[in-house]
Amino acid sequence: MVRRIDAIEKVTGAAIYAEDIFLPDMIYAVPLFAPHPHAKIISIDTAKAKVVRGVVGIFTASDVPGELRTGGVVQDHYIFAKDVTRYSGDVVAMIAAETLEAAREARDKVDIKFEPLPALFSPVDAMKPGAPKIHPERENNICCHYPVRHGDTDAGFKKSDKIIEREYKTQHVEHAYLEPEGCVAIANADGSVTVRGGMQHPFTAQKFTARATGLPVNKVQIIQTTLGGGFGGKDDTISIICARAAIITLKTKRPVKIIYTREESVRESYKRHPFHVKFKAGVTKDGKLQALEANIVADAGAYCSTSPFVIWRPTVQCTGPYIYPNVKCDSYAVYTNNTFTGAMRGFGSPQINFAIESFIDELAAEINADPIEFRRKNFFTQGCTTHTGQKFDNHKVAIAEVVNAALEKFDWNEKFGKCSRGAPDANGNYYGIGMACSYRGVSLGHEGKDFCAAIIKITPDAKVELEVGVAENCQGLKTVMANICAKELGVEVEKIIYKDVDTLSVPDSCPTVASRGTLVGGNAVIDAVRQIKEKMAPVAKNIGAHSSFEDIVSACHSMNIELHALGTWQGPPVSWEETTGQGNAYFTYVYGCQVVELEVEGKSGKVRVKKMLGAHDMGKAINPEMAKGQIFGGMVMGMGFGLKEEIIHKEGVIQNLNFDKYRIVTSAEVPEMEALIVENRDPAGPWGAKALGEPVNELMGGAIANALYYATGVRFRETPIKAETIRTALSLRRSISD
Amino acid sequence: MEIIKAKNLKDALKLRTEKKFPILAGGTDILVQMRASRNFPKGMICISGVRELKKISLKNNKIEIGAGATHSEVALNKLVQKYLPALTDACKTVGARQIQNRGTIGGNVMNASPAGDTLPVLLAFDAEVVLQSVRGKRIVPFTKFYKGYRSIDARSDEILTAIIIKKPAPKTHAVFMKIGTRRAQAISKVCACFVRAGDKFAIAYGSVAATPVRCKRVEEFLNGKKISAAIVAEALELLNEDIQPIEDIRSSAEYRSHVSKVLLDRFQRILATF
Amino acid sequence: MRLKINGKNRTVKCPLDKRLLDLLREDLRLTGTKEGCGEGECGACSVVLNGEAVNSCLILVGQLNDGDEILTVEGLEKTPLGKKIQKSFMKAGAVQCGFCTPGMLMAAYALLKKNKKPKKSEIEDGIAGNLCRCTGYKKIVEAIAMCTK
Repeated sequence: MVRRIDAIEKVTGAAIYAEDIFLPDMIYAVPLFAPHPHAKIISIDTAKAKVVRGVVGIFTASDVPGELRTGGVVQDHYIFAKDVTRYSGDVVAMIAAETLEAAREARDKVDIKFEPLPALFSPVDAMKPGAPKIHPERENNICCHYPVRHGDTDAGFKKSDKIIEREYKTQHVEHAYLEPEGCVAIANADGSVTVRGGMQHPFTAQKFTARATGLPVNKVQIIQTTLGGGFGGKDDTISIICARAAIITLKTKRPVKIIYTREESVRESYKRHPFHVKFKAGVTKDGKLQALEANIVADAGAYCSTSPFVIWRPTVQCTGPYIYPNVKCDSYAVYTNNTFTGAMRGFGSPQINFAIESFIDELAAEINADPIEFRRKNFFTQGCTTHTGQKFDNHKVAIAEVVNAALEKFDWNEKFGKCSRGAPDANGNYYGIGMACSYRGVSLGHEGKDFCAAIIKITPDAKVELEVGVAENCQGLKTVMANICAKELGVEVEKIIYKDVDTLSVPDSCPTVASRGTLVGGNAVIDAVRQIKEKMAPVAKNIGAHSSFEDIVSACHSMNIELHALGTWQGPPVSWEETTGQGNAYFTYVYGCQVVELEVEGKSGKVRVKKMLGAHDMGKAINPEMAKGQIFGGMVMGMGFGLKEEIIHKEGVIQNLNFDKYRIVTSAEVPEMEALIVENRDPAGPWGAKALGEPVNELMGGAIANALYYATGVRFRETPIKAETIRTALSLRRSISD
Repeated sequence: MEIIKAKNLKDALKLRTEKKFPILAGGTDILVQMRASRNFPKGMICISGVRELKKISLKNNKIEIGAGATHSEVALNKLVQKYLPALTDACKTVGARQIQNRGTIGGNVMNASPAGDTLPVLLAFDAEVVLQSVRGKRIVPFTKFYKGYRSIDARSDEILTAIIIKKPAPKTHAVFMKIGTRRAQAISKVCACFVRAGDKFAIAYGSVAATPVRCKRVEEFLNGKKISAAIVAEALELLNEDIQPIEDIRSSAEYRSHVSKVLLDRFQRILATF
Repeated sequence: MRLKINGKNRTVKCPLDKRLLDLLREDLRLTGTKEGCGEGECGACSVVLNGEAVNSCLILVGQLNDGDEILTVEGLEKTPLGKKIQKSFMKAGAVQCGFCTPGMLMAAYALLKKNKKPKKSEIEDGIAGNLCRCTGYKKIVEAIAMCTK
């Protein structure tokens, strides 16, 4: 078993998270939020707040020395709301004080005069012609649009015996990392600034902070502290918080600590995009899919964030792992005055897969086919061409393999026959199983440049310092990188000294997202090791075959051979044609299947999940135990998405800001779980490894919806599928059938 | 905020009269509320060190539970387990272990949340609350204690010191039931306590009205009758007259109304097994 | 006020309306105890007070009494049971982001101190007040179960 190298500091309490940093002379800052989701700010009266004892300063849009607006794709996100607020989590001011309590007390005393503006809380309304524009500089509220045109769907429908249309909807989901956002910023004597904090991608924080402060990038040092969970959620918001902290420290010349409360975190931070998916498919009597039309509308909220990418991935993956010869897809992200939405584990895929996998089962039911046989008849095959025109011949197309492995292990055939299918048992309860499967592009694909760097430095005492440009996002990246490095070098892993990402030291390696950490980081490490070995080889030859690593290192140093290397990895080419949505979107793909078994208490609609199983082809599991941990955690998060979690907005204002009302799955609800690792080594990956973190989170919603169907006979097309909904559906059906 | 620690009950009563500060027992509700509202009192009187308030005893056929007993202490108490197992069950579902270890039964009563888990049990057993002040002692029946949403019959110089429950007659059957979102750590969507003593019934619900409620109409209908599925089916029709559930973020009024019936029906099935 | 913290007697001077969590983190710099919600829902701030798991975000220093014994994650390795739990967590792969870990360890400690051989369901209930977003709890429950052997 490969153990996590950061576990020891985490079980002893020694790991340093952002909130654990205390510096002399440090001040605390708290955010003051928008009084209304869409309003014109008339005035901000800080007179009463300023006189609260301990207040150091109150900072607003007028204190931003650099650019007021920021963003990774489109710079439409106000670091401080100026003149207008666009969602309830917009920050109007930061209040800095000697103590946290003084800052909060002062915040209570700021008086904001405002005038509500007409607000938009649904993408449908926001898309209507003449709708008020949330960003006046834009033509309309459509943030982005991706089309795919492949074949001729009209011709496909003509060949079909049955044409079926369905709609599916998903909800706003909170990342619910256990550690709320936090950072500490320090103004250095040379005019530069250092920010230490918990972010997934230190380089985003660096860019945002440089832009907002007006400092050159090399005057902004970001050092990642131990991260208390991210799941895609610790990018834009924490980077903006870092920028605000930097602005305050540069003005006050004192270290500034910003640690959000849970309520502040949930209020400001972005959520998972709610999707509204419309599908229309044509299928022949013998179960061959002929055509698919897909319309996807996602709520982007007030700011763009990563919306274009979050919409693009489900566009590429809108068919699921099934061949449709003719496809027309249009995906939109639309601005509203809801909380902005962005990256969250899966990146649009849990939403689209809930729709795809529910729809496939519905199609099977419409033509009286077995849902598994129906899938098999249409699965991607080795060498097939997808709806984006990409030929799948450079990796193992393992969809049938993972599905077979999962179903066999689950005793699918036996259990499927036992499903209640709408007929409850003597106690009024229902039993069902369901499955969902997917394919998924690895890494960023055509979203952006795909690059990674790793630095190895071997000290004279034969310790190996390793720094990789991708960041530990709690997934165990450090452990995997250290193990790859150790094994490639032929030394014990204890020799590796892993250095946390420092933006002034290692080159920008693109964000640690898209489940790309292992693949891109691992490849960069292997490249660095290769260079080191090249330097060591002649020396080793000289001093003899039996010399130890220490001896060779020492010899190198005495010969002035610097054992230092910068390893890099450049993503293989990808392509995308924007107007037709055709191209090789990603350089390789992974495949997964998840299965669930559950019971429904008919009277209350309560669901008891009994068992979950995940089978995933990840190329190669470098650390099988950590990989299984990812599968378990991902399935449980998926279970929350399917059954219970939902951020509820009321007129744009979030109603459940803390865990008493936003309920994630607890230990008491977790069912029996199994994880199956399928390995088809990929030529692109280090030791053949591909991706895992997100695939494991993109299937359970669909599997649950399908299991509920085979249990109750009712098709639920909207997540979360709560007990209330199930109960109502069951009672309605009863009254109809009576 | 000034925190004054009361050394004993006498001290606590004196402080309450002099200072009029709110009482701080376990703090698991009041500290959460103060944090959310940012409404902090000038001070609080802390009674967690007052040992007299932790006693649980049986005297003159009455079980007296000190208001300062934590939910864990009540749940582990042998007297309670023997005579009031429904209260044991209720105490075990108040939040998670960490909350049960600090939150007190007196706090649950005084917090007066319609969702308070122990309240339907106390209400169904016709408990009485003992309120003390330097002026003396008042005993108020539970049925009169809750006057409206979070409104109780307690005066600003009083402290809740104990809860008194008459020892149930032999062959009393009582169950506590809850429908929540999670097995532990849940604020209930609906909770209830059902009691049958001889041919008399006591039924109380939480989370279905502004206060915990006794279901008088259902009780009157059931009293004297031999319970059967058919009888309960008739009683279910009356339940809507006894409860007025509301919609909030945790559940809908319609669902609460429905699961209230489910719980009553479940009670009938449990009784059939006795 | 005199408290016994991680086995050491300490005299603590601070305002009585300070949260125990802040006393530990700010005054004593025992920063292993974490704050995840501030309202007793997530359990990240769990410590063991006189043998019981409690949420230190919902206890004011004024509610403590002279002689109270507090165990935090920093004190675990000095106790045989605590050390065992820490090792099991590492061995079972029960640690991911680590933010819930200190609270989880303390809840496990309090559970195992009272119940040497908890059943799986008792373990699940024992940590039901400790939220974890990474692991799906499975390996945490396995780690605690390992300590019963």
